[in-house]
Amino acid sequence: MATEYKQFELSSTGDLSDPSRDALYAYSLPKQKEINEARPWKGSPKYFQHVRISSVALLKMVTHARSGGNIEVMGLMIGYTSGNTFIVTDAFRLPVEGTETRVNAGDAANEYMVNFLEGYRSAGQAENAVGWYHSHPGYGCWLSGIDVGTQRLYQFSEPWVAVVIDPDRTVSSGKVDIGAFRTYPEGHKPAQPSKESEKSDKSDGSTASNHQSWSQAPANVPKGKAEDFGAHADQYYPLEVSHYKSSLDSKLLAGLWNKYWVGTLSSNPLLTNREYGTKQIEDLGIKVADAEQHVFKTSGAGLQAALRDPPDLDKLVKASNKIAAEEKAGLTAEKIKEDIFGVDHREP
Amino acid sequence: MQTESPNPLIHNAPASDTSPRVQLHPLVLLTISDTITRHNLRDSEELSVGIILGQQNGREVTMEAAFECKTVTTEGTVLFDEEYLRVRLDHLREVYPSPQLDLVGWFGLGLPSGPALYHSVIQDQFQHRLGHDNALLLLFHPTAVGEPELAMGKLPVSVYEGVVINEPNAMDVDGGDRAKGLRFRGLECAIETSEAEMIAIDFVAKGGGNATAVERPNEPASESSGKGKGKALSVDDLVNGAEQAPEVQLSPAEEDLISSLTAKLNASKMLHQRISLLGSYVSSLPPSYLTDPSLPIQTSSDPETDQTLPNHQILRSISGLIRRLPILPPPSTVEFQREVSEQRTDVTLLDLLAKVTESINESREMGKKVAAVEIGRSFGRKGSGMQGLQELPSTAFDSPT
Ligand SMILES: [Zn+2]
Repeated sequence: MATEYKQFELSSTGDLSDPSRDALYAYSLPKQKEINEARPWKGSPKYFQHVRISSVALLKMVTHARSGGNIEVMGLMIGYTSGNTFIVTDAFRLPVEGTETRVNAGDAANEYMVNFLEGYRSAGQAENAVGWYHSHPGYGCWLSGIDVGTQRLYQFSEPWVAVVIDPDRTVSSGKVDIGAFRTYPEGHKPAQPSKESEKSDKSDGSTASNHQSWSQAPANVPKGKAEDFGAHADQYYPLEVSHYKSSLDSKLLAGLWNKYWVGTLSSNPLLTNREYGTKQIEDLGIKVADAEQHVFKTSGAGLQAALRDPPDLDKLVKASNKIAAEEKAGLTAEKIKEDIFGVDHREP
Repeated sequence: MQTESPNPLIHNAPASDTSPRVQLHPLVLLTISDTITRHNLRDSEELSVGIILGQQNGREVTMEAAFECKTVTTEGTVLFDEEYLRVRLDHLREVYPSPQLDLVGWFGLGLPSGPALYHSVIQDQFQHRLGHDNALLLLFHPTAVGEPELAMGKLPVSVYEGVVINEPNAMDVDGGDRAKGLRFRGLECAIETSEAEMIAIDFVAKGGGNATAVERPNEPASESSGKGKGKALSVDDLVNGAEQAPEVQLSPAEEDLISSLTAKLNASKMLHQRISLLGSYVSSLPPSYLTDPSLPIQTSSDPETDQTLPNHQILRSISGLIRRLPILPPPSTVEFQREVSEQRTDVTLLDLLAKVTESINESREMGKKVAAVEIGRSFGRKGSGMQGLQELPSTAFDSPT
């Protein structure tokens, strides 16, 4: 009893998708129910290892994060789980604006969330919410103390994942800056590398180093946030993030490239992200001053103290190199533009 | 664009001065694509239709986001579910406050030849029953996706505005709704992206991440069993979203540099291609009878030679483009040059500072090693060289600021 309209759709869209290539777009409610009842993640704190995000969800999250400017914004992701992987099929915004340092969903947001999800469901998107995302404008992807609390709270209604996006770094590096995390249960101590390697083969070393590399701050956690980062870094672990797209997406993206390549040439990251760059340099300045203080304090205290480094000198080097690399990339963009379009001014 | 069309619903009068100019964001396209694919894979009964949010500033209309909507079917006629639409729109307005987005139109699937009767029924619903007088129709053409033109940048969409014409003989046309005199006028539509959106598009366009449902080979890393993952995961891997480790291990900074340079290279290639295309078009034209009076006036293309008949519109826009080139440089060259060189100096300075910081760290390392050696030696000698050493690391760390 399909209408004329639906008949047209059925006849024209059928060969746009491939049942196996686009399998992630399918959804089975009974299967998800089964998984959610079996709760395979129970008892293993690091059960989930991957997050796969659909192109449309990724685009929504990135543009949302950027639209917030310096304000943290927040939203929810819907999808399902498959083995140790979260499949994020879509994302939507919540009417919550963080202050610059925290995001917290109140009752109003919860009501909104329920209503909006209902809207999806009645239009045929039957997936459940599987996580939340929020933005960290300019200070990298990790979980703050408040974030850890929020994630832990939500993780009671498993499965649940946290995604963090840094819109400023996305623009300045020209690459989507995104991370996904899950918290350990309260009181859980991540296994110590030594203990783990005792009863394991080589591959376990990598798990351990995985954790270690995480507990070292990403290069540019700003001074004001470093303490927050350090205090909670051992309470959660990162998941591997990748994205997926449909066969139809691939065709459209190829067509789109033909439209927006001009933007690639004309963009000016130095200019559009000047504020972010300045903030980064300011922050580095503070850290350098701190290190200097530290050196002055310890310099009179004898050889022992002199042998002790200021705690983050390596990090300072990394951070300043990162800033320099980003700025240089911006300059290169300009140089290329000048070489292609510039009028030679040296001529008299 | 729409030259001549047998579609009776198309209004062929040229777009008026008040007709909107549409800027379409890729997110809208990908949302439609997502809707279609999802419906295909889930055998959905729903139609692939939805609303489009954007801004309207005078004639400029942006289409920035799209959301699938429910429909109701009564006696074979499909309309949007008005209650659903109202609630959904209220919700959406709340989360797109700055800039405030509002409904600017709706999307559906249709043929490249233009809307069908069932589209005009819905268009009428928006314009008259829902009071969105300016609602536009974005028609996605599933049948045009396979065309080679898509890869050349001709996207399978067209945008229409609804125009009401009171033709006296409109009643003669079959179909009650056509009698209302609603016609569609094709509009120009350009792709517009914000910077972050462009980066995200680039991100999803790259990489082979298709949507095959593969269970990851690595087992869940449960800590108690001590089973590990095959690959160490660093934060940088996460950031890169790298799916496989390349043969040569590049630092994240190098990866960044390569990907940004590749993007520039591709764009430059594209520019070059376009310019060459114009060049080869112009050189394929016959010699002009305007500049060489000895030539006969040519009015049709000569099959004997492979010369093309000049298209005056194309030639005019090429000539316009060339005429515009000299006004591209900034009005005050001196000012501009100064700014450019300031920027360059800033960046170079930053680079130098980074290098200085690195050197300081290295000298400290060196100092530490020397100190360690000296300690070892002084234990042997009980010498007095320690005094000088104490200061070595601190003087080495004279702040660059
Ligand atoms: Zn946060």
